[in-house]
Amino acid sequence: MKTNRLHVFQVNIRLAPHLRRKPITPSDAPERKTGQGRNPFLNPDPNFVLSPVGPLHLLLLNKFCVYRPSLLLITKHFEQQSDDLDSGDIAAAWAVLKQYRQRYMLIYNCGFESGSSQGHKHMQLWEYPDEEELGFELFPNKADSEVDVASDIPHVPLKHFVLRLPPNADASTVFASYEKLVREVRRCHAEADGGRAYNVILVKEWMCLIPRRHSGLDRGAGANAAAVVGLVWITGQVERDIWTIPGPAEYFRHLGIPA
Amino acid sequence: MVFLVLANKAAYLLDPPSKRLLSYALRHSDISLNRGIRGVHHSGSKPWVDVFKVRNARRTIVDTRESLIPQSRRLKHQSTMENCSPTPNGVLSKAAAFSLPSDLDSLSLSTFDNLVTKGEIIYEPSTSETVEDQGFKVSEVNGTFSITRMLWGR
Repeated sequence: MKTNRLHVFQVNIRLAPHLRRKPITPSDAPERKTGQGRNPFLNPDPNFVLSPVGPLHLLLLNKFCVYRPSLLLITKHFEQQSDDLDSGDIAAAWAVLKQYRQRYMLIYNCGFESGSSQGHKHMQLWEYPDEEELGFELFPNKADSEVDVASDIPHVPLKHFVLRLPPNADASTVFASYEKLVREVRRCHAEADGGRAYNVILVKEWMCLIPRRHSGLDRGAGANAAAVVGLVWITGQVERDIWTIPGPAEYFRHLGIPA
Repeated sequence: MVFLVLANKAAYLLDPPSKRLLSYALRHSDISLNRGIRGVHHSGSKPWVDVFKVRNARRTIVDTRESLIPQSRRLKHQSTMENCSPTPNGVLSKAAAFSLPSDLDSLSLSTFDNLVTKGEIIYEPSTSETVEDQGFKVSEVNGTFSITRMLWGR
């Protein structure tokens, strides 16, 4: 884009009024602990299922979509959305990302405060956004090391931890990177607020983890992993004001841990 | 490629090694553990599974040799193994161990469009704008771009 304002914090705000219909399981709902009750992922509609991914995961279409298409990678059996990803989750995620010919991105909202709407473990995927159209590059792209965690990318207002992934990385390599980043998130939370929630954003080239303090619902505008790398979804003007009146950077500092 | 062979009745892919995957394999076998799984580890380049106190099993074998897989199970896993290729260190690619539709891009789009048409997927094309944190709206993503000063600037 046209502005070359590389040193200014930018976000893309997408108006998607139909997301008002998306249910959000409350943080204290028993479904988040047991998987019982209203759990759309325990026996998903077979019409939505695209493929099993190994013995433990299913790839299916999301019911409430911002992008065409939007996908879910869920565990077949109930596991809590507040759990870390394990090596099987990462292997399934990596297999799916590698299988798409188009460049896809995958997110995982770990814990209620990270913006997860359901308590059953699920990851989400969609095509990587066109950065020309956005007018800016997602900030994790600026990380340059596969070894040293990037945690001070300029002008990012909240704590973040990013590793590049080597070309032809396999699932073990990706999982090792994830574990390294989770340790940084744990350390960051311990120093800040003792929380546990965080977002994961994974593409073939990098992985980014962002510790979270608030879901945003406490102020009326929820935010998931996409939002905290600059892809904000809103349902109307009220939510837009929540983001823009204090300024996106200020809202980011509320959602995460100020950098 | 690592397989767990249980009492010659089942072979399960353990790639990558995973306690959860092992638990799944055991749940679907006719054996049980009386003290659970101790761990799944990497030792050097060879993953191994540390299981102990297995009951009701004539044998429990963990090995990397494909020959340990019974023929029927070998056929079952064949499609998952076709796409594997050795990495430079000789370890088979783990991500390739999953069998996924080869036309996943088109399958995803066509199924998505079909379910949207039926009203089963809640989706509407959306509009977006890119904003900066210094009082400018940078772009309108509807084909043209503009720069407009916003009221919420700092």
